[in-house]
Parts: sequence; structure tokens; C-alpha cells
Amino acid sequence: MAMTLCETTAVGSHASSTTTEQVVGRYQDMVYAICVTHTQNRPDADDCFQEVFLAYHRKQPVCHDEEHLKAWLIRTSLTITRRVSSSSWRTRVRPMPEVDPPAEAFRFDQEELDDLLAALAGLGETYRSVIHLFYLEDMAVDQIADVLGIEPGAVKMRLSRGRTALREAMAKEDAHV
Amino acid sequence: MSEQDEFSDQFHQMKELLTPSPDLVARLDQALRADPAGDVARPVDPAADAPRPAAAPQTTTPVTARKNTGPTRSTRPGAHRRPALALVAGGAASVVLAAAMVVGSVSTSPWGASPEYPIAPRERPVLTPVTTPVTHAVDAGDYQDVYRAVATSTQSSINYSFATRGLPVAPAAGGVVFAEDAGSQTWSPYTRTNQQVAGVSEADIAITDGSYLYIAKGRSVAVVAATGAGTRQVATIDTSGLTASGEILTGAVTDMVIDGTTLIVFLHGFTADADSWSAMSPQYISMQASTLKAAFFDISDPTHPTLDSVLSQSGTYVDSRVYDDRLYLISRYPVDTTRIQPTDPTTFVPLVDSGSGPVPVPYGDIVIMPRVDTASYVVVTATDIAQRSRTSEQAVLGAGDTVYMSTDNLYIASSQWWSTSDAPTIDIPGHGAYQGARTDIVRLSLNSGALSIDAQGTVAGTVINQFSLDESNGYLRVATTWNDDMTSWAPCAGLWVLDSSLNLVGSIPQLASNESIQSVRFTGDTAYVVTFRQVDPLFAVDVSDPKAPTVMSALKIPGFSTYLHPYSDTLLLGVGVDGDESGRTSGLKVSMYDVSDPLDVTQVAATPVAADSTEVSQDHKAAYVDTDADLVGFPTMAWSDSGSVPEGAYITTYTWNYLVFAWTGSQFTQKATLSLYSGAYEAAPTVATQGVARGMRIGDSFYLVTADTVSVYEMHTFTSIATVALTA
Repeated sequence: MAMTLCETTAVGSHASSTTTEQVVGRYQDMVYAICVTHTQNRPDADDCFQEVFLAYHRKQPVCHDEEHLKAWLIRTSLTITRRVSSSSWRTRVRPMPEVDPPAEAFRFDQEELDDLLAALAGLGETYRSVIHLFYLEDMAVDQIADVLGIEPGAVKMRLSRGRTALREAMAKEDAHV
Repeated sequence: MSEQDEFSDQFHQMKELLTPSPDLVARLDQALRADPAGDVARPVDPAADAPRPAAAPQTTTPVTARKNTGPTRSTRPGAHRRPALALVAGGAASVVLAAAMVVGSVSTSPWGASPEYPIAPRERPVLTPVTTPVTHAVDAGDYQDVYRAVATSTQSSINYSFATRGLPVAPAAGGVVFAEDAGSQTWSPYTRTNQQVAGVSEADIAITDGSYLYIAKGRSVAVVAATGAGTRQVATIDTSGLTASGEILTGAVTDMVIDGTTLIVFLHGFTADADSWSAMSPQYISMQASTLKAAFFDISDPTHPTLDSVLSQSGTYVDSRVYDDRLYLISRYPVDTTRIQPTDPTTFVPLVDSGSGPVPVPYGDIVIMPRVDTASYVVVTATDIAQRSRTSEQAVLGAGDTVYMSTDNLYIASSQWWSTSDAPTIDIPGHGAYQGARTDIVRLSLNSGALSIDAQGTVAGTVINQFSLDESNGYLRVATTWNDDMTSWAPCAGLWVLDSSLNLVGSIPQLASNESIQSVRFTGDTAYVVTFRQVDPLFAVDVSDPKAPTVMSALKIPGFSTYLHPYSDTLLLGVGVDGDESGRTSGLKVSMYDVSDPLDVTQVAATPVAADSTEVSQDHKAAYVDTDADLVGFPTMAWSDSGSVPEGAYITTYTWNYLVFAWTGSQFTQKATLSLYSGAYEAAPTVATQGVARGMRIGDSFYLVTADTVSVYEMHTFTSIATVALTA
């Protein structure tokens, strides 16, 4: 039988000790990175960051091992960034791709990283999440497939298409500069 | 693990830089401390008599201040022991506890930094003093005073400025588009936008004048004749053409308010960030919302709204109020400190356009707060609605964004989470000098539209929202959650009474210790304050004597209310989070309290609601409270994970509903569950996804409004009688 990822009702043993503060300590960088690459602006990333751990804190999912805890956090981060990046009716308007990033775009102090983040932002979430997990979290294709609940083949396809799209975006950028 | 390619290095570099700031982690820490939900899962030694073992200072610190909280204390015997007891009681949590205890390496510190995984530097960040510390806000003597204050602000405003994400839905196509046809003008009782202060109107994204609905839909406003079964859209107002010189496009309609036959629509003008052009992909323009516009439409014939005028001011929308036929509009304007020029006020002073072009706010109308951490202004303008003419403007450099307006004064509160070495010291009665989180408050007199900034003051702690403030007979009452991080991390709920100069005249510094405020409502001379740690104390505080506020009662019930609404003179409605005796929270609840005897407040009814969250917790305007029809409604959202790993697909199901409850006088009965959306997020229609919906009643019909659809129900049976798809 397949192992359920994390249960929000407690059943079974708890393999790893997971007080919220420890979870925050271990995963704050991972969650924050997802929040930034998936919202591209600091206020939203900050909001999402808080919300992810508050969700953990409130739901207290019982995860059977560290991998499942990590997976739960990744999925929840993606869920919440999705929700926040288009949150509220006031702002619920589909951003036109050509006028995207919102008022408070996240900036690095290095132009090439800004460009890369912008290119990543232009990918669309389907590719962005896979690219993020592969490059920033160093996750293997199979792990990504597990976490996102898709076939490894689909991960490979998204990776490959995502890379191509990134290359194109960066090439245009270079040409423009 | 992954093979290297041309992106690997850069992404790794990016990853190294993507760490949450200490400030953010500290805020999370605070939020988690304030959030009771997880208490049950925290390992605590159940045998220990002292409650929160490793955090001894928390239990010992604030005793001195308990003197005048006698009633509070007596109603909460043994409250400190609850965490330990709760642990054993909490069903699911006990498993976690057992495991945690076996592992043994777990720190017994409740939410303290564990040795293995330190969460955050606990040191208070020391910011360099920016200007000669002054204790009071000062009027700008000239623009150079303003320039100096902007230029020496310590933090980049970009990180903290108000974010507006209103972005366009469609290419600009100017003008106002009219639809044919007129609806019959009838009047019947209807729901007004939920407002804090009687007579002071607040804006919303779906509003009604009793005959027509005005619904924000991207850059348009849909006008709908609300005639029950015959409900139909009669006009569309397109605001996309309202760009001013230099603006590329307008954003989504942010808020709207009606006064008589005038509809005022708030939206932003966007300009391109020239600097970002080359840095972004060619197809990108970095846009910023630079100007807040108030567009005045004549709706004396709602089927033919006509644009009369547009007034604008720098910044993004914070809030607005309409009182006595005057519009008070508040924006927040972060200065781009990289571009300021000492000789050019337009680069560091907000601009206001009163109809004849944008001009900088005169320096005589600018006030500089004692500490300007962020080069950001709050701009307040007053406008005579009938005349469409601006009557005054004021700008405060360094102020925040919680707005409370009574019929005489407008208050702007800004909460600072962090203490700084040069922060003003606040003397908390019974506690002593305090330099922790604080709230700076500015009072502007309305003077019938001739705004003036008349007072500035500071209280300990942070406010949760506009309901934390209330004015009566010239006194401002403020409820905050404070904690003195010099001595303890335990939050305290405090209530402060300030005179018209915003000097403290009375207080209950520790209404509750180790508790955070969840909701506040003032009605007349009584303050209702909900705090939470394990169970939900609903405090009733007599604030009739400004110098001596006293606790009248403290009702303890599981869960906590995140929104309180005076239902009648004797009943108080609460919407919030459900929980059990152990403090474990689950789902939502709607409850009714009998407050006829403030010395003995009782819960007369409580109904659990199976959902994870409701927009009402963040926005009181999402609450439909209809005391004539005895109906209460609000949107809810639930999400659940299912599926399995590795074999099966993993699915998150989202369910957004609009729930309507009938109040029978003794209990709630669920009148209707109106589905907004259920299913996978990816498949959700764009508008339903956020579950943002408004319910309102006009006559015998109930209108459920989203940006896509108006659904009309017969209000007694809640049978559907019409559905109108809105067009932009």
C-alpha cells in the first residue's frame, strides 16, 4: 500500500521530532526560496513564507519521515504561493505576460541573477516548480515526481522544455543588452 | 545529484542568496508564538509544575503588572498549567508528544531556539540612529527638512512598502461603455457595506445603492439592476482609459464607494520602471503602481454612468472613508531614494493632482514622524464629493497603514514589530521602561474637510486591524499585543486610553499575559477583546472612565473569534476558529454571546463550520450580518490533501463555499451552502479560485456576488431565482 504523504490526523509513529521551530530551522531557506521564485516579489514571498509555517503549525501533519515532511512543505509552499500570487478579488486579474512583474519585484544585486529570476518567472508554474526543485533543491527526477505527484517522464519533459525556454529567454536578454 | 549544466552555478548562487531575513524569521516566530494552534504538539514536561519549562523568564516576568488585573487573574486560575495538561489531553497531539519525549533530543523550550536548529538570531537588530532623535513629530519647516528626513531614512522603502498587485486584464481601450436599457427604480431594505463606525462609509469591491449592484471586475465595473428574478447587467464602466500623462496603463479597480448619486472608483495608474527595462527580458516592462486615482462617476441614471472627474495622489491605496459627503482618501507613497534630488521636491515629496495637474504637497502640510525608518509617506486627502473638489491634503513621512476614522478624527496607526536601540522608551504602568514592539499613532482632525495633523503618540505593542482602535468623547482606546523582548517573549494583551493629545491617561497593561489579541470590538463604553492561548477568553472591559478601564468579565470558551460584530444591544456575534478545551483548533465556528450583562457574558450558541479559513478573518467587509432578516453569511475555504506517494497522484482539493446561517434567537441553523468552487486549483475558473464573494440582501432577494457572476436567491428558501454572468 502506498504511504500517505503526511496525515493531518495523527496515526502511527512519528519518525522524526518535529516541533514547529525545528521545522522552521531546517526548512526556512527551502521554503523561502520557493516563495521568492514563485511570487517574484518580496512582500508576497514574506507573506507566503509565514503562511506555510503557520499552516504546518496549525495542521501539525504527522509525517512518517523527513522526506515526507519536506514533500509536504514543498507542496504547501506551492499551494500557498499559487493562492497568494493571485490573491484577493482586488488583485485577481491575470497579469499580462508582457507587463508582468508586480510593483515590488524581488531583486538581487546581480543583474544576471535578476535576469534568471525573470526568465524563471516567465516560464509558467508547470515548468517553474520543476526547474526550481531540480536546480535549487538538487532533487532527482524521481524525487520531484514523488513530490509533485506526476510521472518521472513528465518531470523530464518539463525539465527539458523548461531549460529550452530558459535558454531562449536568456538569449533574448543578452541580445537586448 | 543533478548533472551540471550552464544553469547550475547561477541557480546555486541564487539559492545561497535566498534566505529569509532575520526580521522575517523573527516575525514568523512572533506569529507562531501568537498562534495557539500548535501548542498541543509542543513537547513540554507534563510533570513540571512551572508551565513552560525552559522559558522560565516568561513565567516570572510580568507579575508586577498584574496589580490592576485582579478580575482577570481571578478568572483564570491555573491558566499557566494548561499547556502541560492540554498535552496529555489532546488526542492527536499526544502521539507527537510521546514521540518527541522518546527522542529526547528535543528542546523543552516551547518555541525557543533549539540547540540543533537555531531559528533566528534573537539579538535585537541595531539600526544606526538616523537623525537627532526627537520625541515628537515635527512639521516640516521647508522642503529641505523633508529632504533630509527622506535621505537619512534607514531602510530601503522597497521592502516594506504597500504592495499593490492590481494589474490590467486587457489591453487599454478607453472610454465608458454603456449598455442599453434602464431598470425600474425601486427601493427596499438592503445590505450596506459592513462598516466599523455608524455613518462612516467604507469602500468595497461589490457595493449596492439598494437598487443596483456595482461590481469590480478587473478594470471594469459591472452595473447590475438588482430586481430579483429579473436581475441583469445594465452597464459596464471601463476605467482602462483613465491613464494620465506618463502612465502606461491603469490597474484593476481596487475599491468603490457610493455617496448619493456619485460612484467613486479607486484605481491605480501604472508607470514603467525605466531602469528595469534593460535588466529584464525584452518582453517585460517592470510596472509600478505610482498614482492612486479617485474617479467620480455620476450615477443618477445608473444605466448611463458618466465620468465627471478624476483626482489623484501619489502612492497606492491604503483605505478610504466617506462621511458627511466628503471623501477621505489615504495612500501610501514609498520614495525611491535612489532618485531624490535636493533641489527638486517632486523627487521626494508626494504629488497631489486636484484637477489642474500634479503638484508636490506643500511643505506646510507635511509632518515628519520622530523616527523615519522607511522613506514612505502616508498621504491623506479630503474631497467635497458634490463639488468634486479637493479641500485639503496632508502627508506624514514615516507613518503606517492601519486607518481608523471616527466622525471627528482620522487616525493612522503604524505598528513596528522591532525595537531599536534609539526607539522611544515607553513607560508601561506597573512594568517600567519598554522598548519593544510599538504602534505610532497620528491623529488628523477632519474639520469638515480641512484636515490638520493635531497629535502624535505611541503605545506599546502592535494592533491587529482598524477595530483595535476606537474613539469616544475625545479619548482614543487602543488594544495591542506587546511583549518586552528584553525580559520575556511571552505576549501580553494590553488596553490603552489616550487623550486628544495622544498621551496615555489610563490603561490595563496586562489584560492577559501570555496571550495574543485575536479580535477587538468597541461598542459604546465597552471593549470586547478576544485573546487566545488555550481557550478563548472574551474580555468585556468597561472603558467609560478613561483613567480607569476595568475588566468586567472574562468568558472562557474553546477556540477564538477573529471577528466580532455587535448584533444587537444585547448580542455579540463572533466568527472565528473552533477548538476544544485543550486548545487544539479545528475548523471554524460562528458564535453568539449574550452581553446584556457585561459582568456576566455568556455564550448562547456556537455552531462549528467545517472549513479552514474565512476571508472575514482578514476583511470584515466579507461578512454579511443582517439583523433585520436574522441572517449571517460569509465565504469559507477548505483544502485537503489526498492521494499517495509514490504510486498514486497527489491531489489537493479546494472547496470554496458561501455559507448562510439563520439566527433563530437561540441558535444558528445553516440556511444555505452556496458552492463557489470545488476541485483542483489548476482547474478552477480564475474568479472562483479565491473564493472572494460578497453576500447582500435587497428586499426579498439575496445576491451572492463574485467578479464573474451574480447569483440571486429567494431569501426565505434560498432557492435560486436568477444567475447573471457578468461581462467586462
